[in-house]
Amino acid sequence: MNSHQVTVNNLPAVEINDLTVAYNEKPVLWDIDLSIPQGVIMGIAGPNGAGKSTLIKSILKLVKPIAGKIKILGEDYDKVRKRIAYVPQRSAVDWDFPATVFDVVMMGTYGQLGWFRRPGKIQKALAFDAIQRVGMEEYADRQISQLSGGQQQRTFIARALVQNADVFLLDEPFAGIDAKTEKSIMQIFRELKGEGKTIIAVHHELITLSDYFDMITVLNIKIYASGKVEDVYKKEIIYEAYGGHFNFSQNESILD
Amino acid sequence: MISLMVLLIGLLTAIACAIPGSYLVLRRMSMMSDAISHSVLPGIIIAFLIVLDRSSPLIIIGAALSGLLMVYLTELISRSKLVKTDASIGLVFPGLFSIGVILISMQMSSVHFHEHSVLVGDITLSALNNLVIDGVDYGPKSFYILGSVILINLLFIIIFFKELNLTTFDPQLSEVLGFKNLTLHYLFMTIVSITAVASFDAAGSILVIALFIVPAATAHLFTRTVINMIIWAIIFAIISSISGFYLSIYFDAAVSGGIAVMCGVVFLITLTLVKLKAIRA
Repeated sequence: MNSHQVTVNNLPAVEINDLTVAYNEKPVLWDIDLSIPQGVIMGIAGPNGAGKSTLIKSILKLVKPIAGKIKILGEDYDKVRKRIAYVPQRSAVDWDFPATVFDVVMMGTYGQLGWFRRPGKIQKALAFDAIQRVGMEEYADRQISQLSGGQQQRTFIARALVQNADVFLLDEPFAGIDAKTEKSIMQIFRELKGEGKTIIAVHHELITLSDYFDMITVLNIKIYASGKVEDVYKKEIIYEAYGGHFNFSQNESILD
Repeated sequence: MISLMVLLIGLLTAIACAIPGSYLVLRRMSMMSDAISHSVLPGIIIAFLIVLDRSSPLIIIGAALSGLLMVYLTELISRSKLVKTDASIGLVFPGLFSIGVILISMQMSSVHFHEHSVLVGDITLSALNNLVIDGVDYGPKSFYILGSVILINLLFIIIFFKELNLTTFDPQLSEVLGFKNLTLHYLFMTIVSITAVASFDAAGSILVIALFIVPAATAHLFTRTVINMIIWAIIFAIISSISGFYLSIYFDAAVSGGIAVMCGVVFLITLTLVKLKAIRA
């Protein structure tokens, strides 16, 4: 591609060059080069300890890399902060926190508000729209500790929708959820994709990988492959990345 | 008259502690509040040696600084990743506390700082220390100090309500959205330090953790919003401090002990009621 033809819309959603991250001098991500185009649903796959969450956190500047450059929509993270939504792992927060579904979804508006400004009518309307979109309107006033795993996840998705972002980063959104939630999340992903938004989600389960995503990055400290599902979802690639941690007898049939 | 003053000082202390206490419980920082209440001691002593007035506002500043020094040193050690956060708290605060204890035994065995009152407080002494301006007696100085601390704590929570809830519930999202968790952490730790110092007379450094944590933990058992949790923590603080005062008179014991016991009793009663599904708020 000739660089002078690149328009704003053709910029990759995320562009990573030579990223290396280490905890206590042990590398967690090694020399990552990755380009994720806009308007796709990208799954980040890999075994436990592959650095999937760390990759997401590096993009969000929650983790400090040893080396490497990350651009989001062609800019530094701090410049495009308001165009990025993040859904952490459900287990990352304390669900005994005294709050309702509505309270948690409202938190998605805090980034636009900044310090000190209080949410008002506009923010409340946004929160209600998002709660409806994930089918949680009956539960808006429910205490978050009373929610099922799927309802917690939909609450988190609603909170991300409120941010009205262009790039969505999600950590294990399909982990431990019910069929209704799975359907609802998939539908939202497709709607967002239709609006030209980019979805990047960590996903550890191999079987469902090709159902959920149209692009896949296979990661295990380094990147083994990244591209369209049909090009990447192959036995030799998965085998190489998962090594001994992957039980083929159970999953062989799904890979050709 | 003195006993009414003692009752009121206990009451104000319990209220002052219950406000930040709610966020200490939600942020799982009970041990941190214990560490702070110990670490303010050297600050109190050093500031006292400089100003020689036990109820001077400068003492609060000195003590808040030594509380923050503890928080900073703890962060520094745990950021090295060589020891865990709770272990680094355990490394720092006994050091600071022992400096305070040594200073007391060296400098002031004749002054009214006794190891005993450092541990459990000496509420009666502060009830006798009145604010006198131009010969007019305005009542115990503690009233004004504790009243200001309650006001500061309330203002802090009102101003930073949205930010406190966000960083407490989901610190990662808070950072992602552009809020500075560390700044808020230090602001909050300053609030806790100031409160610990103001409570020192009434509760000492050991029992103040009961005032910080127990009313808030009791409220956390059944409340469904942060605001309700704070309100109920204050209500439990009021109930425990008044009943604890009379308990201590009955047994002729330290007031702080009576209040701490009642905090525990209120917790147990509430826990039983919650288990029986009798209350909800």
